[in-house]
Amino acid sequence: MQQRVRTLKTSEAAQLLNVSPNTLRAWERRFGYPKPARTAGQHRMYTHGEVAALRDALQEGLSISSAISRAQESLRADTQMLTGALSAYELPRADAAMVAALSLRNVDRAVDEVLLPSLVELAAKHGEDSAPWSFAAQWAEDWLKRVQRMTPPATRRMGIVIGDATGGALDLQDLNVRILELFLARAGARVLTLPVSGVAGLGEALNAFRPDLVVLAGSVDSDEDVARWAYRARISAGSLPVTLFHRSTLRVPTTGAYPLSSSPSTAHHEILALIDGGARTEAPTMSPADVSAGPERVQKRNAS
Amino acid sequence: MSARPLLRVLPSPHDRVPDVRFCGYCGARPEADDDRRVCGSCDMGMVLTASAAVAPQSGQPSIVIDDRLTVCAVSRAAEELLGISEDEVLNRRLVDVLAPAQAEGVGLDSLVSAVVTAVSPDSAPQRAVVRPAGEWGIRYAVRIGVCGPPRAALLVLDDDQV
Repeated sequence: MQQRVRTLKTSEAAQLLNVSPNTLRAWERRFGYPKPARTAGQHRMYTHGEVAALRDALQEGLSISSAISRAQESLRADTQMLTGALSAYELPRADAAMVAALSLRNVDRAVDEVLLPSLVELAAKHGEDSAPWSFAAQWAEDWLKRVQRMTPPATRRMGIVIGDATGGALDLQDLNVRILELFLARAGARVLTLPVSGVAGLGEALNAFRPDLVVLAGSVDSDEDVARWAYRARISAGSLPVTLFHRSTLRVPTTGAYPLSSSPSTAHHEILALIDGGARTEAPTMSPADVSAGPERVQKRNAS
Repeated sequence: MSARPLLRVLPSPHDRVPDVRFCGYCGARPEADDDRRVCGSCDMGMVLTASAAVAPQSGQPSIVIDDRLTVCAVSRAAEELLGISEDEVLNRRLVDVLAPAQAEGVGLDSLVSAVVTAVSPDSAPQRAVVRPAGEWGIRYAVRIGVCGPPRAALLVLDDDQV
């Protein structure tokens, strides 16, 4: 997990594949593969493993489509490896599967393309009240914590507070929230997650944290709890954009909040775009009148 | 001295048709010293080798299938002619794309036999008549030969020769 992903510049990747840089860009447009990450300067950075898999597939391919399909298939083997390890309750093999995944991808993509699909598959296959899921969920939470510890300190001023309305560690929504936290932290944001079930001390926490955006995440806690928590948060932190993650828009009576994509990867990009794009004026916010009148007024307004 | 007329068996077993290299997508022929696997003209096709008697001429539609008779490559011209895209027919069976033209006396067995014969070592290109799957009243003559690497069957549609 501590190894760095070997990356290639466009010219290096093109040289490895014996194609031109334009060819790589054309494949990215048409096939979505290989899918490069971007540097801070927006330059493409390809993972060596992905390019190497494509190089091998091209040797045996009769068309670009079939070669790309074969290369993607070889990368998907990591998901099967992780699912198999977790189903067999083998922690070392699960860790090894993620190490293998990280040799081909950066952390964000390893989580998005291997860890999350594997856990979703296990939850769907066994149910969220099963032993295999419980084992897998606890392993995933532990793995994410280990990665989180290696994340550099926040480099941006932006702060995001997550109102956690999930059902706890064995809830698939909770895993999505943990991944969202990780992605936001890796993007340099400050993240504070607080349970919506309690409002004691919320004001002090938010005054100290000074968030730029609120995420209401999860659909386990009741609408009343979420509304009360959001109302308290707004009183303490002022008028903030509110987003919903894994929570139905209709079930939250506090605002017409901005619904995020259910994919943590997409959601974190949406959050960053909202903040960078001046979300305070664009996203739905609670008016001072709403705040002074309390949550009942807001509930009535939204009901109408 | 005038040359005497010669009697020759045609085709002569000694006159081997040369191999040519072509892009499986756009059909372009790369330069002799260009050994890249990916076509430098269109960026979207693999450069394949086939006998000149089979290889598609410029703009001729072609399909490549593997030994399981599943589609591995579709040229741009074939995409346009058949109204399909390579992505959607990749790994589908050949008969999902091209069916034997039974009105021309071509059954499924004879089409499969033509493909199998065409890719056998030292065999001559085969011919058959096919129609787009699910379409009637349209027929294409198809010449079938071996191409690669890796070894596969190349079907080139001669849409003006039926």
